[in-house]
Amino acid sequence: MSRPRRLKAASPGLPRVDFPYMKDTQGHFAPIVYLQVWTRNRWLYLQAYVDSGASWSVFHADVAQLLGLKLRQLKRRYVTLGNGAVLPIYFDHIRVRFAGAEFSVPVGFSDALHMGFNLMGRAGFFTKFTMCFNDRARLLTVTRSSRSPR
Amino acid sequence: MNIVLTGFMGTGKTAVGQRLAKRLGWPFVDIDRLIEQRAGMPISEIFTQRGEAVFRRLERRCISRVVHGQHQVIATGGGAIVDLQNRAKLRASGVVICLTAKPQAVLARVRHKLAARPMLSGAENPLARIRALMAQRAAAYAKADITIDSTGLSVEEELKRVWDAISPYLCRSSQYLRDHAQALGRRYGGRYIVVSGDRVVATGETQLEAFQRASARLSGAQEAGVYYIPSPEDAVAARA
Repeated sequence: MSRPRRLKAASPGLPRVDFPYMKDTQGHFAPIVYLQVWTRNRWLYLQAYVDSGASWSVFHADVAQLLGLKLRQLKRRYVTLGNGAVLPIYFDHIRVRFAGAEFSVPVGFSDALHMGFNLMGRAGFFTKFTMCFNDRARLLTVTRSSRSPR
Repeated sequence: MNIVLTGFMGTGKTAVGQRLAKRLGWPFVDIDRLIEQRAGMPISEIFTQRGEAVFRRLERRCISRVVHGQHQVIATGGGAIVDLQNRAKLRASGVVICLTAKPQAVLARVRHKLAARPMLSGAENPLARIRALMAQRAAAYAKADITIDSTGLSVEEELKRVWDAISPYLCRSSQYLRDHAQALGRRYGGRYIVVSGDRVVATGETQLEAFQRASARLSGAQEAGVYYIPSPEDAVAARA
């Protein structure tokens, strides 16, 4: 039987960005981060609710317009939510800046997303960063999970 | 998170660091000055009276203490990052920016204060010594997160390059959001707002609407973010 591949832990000394949980009007905290997207003439900060249970990031459809993307020209996929609902999502790769790095990431856009925040899912983010959710300290620590040999 | 400025002597660590700290509203920590305070003597005297090994030990201790703080601009000495322990601790505490410059530019900047530079004092050929030290430290400097060449730049120009480089690590508008969460919730609950620096410049029902309203009020250089302010009903749904 082959051994399970040991995941490479975040090495000590790698750049780390801490995101304190955001407080809502009820006084409850959630892992909501900021990232930058390129809007044709400037980098703009957006918020995203970090959801480790989501395979893909899903942003509101109006963000696609903000980025100069035409939703219907993007690749459509259907994703199934936890409640069984099926949602059409329009995918594209967008350039983002997050936690000190700039890279391209697949993002889905949906006009059926009802919650206020964009969603950050695993694809493209969780492979580049180690996310440590500390609910007690209300802190999300994001560490780059791999570097070129030093 | 801290901003760490490292690099060879004469590259602007202190000058840029002080201005950067002022712009951020963070304290500026100069490791060399801290060492001098602790030792009760200038660094040049530490070298002559107690030797480089003692200086490096003092440096390691100072760095070990300082990295526990947050939201500081830290300027290290030129050789601090060569030490593996220092490098690991500094990198873990935040983003490390290495300021560089060509050897001739460094010499021009430090020439009038060579006696205060223990690594250069007494050198027959300071330029050759600078080149040799730079070569020795090159591998360590290369491990910084960001490298900025300060050759030919004024302090303000160098500060601007550092500021542009660190912007992905900072978000002042998000900090404003956190600091004023309750007041913003009462006023803008259920809406999106565009925050630039420390003010709300526009609101909207969607991110697009808010940003379109804000665009005319934002200059090209301004940092801006679009943020959702939960209404009490949304907050309950987000937690479900």
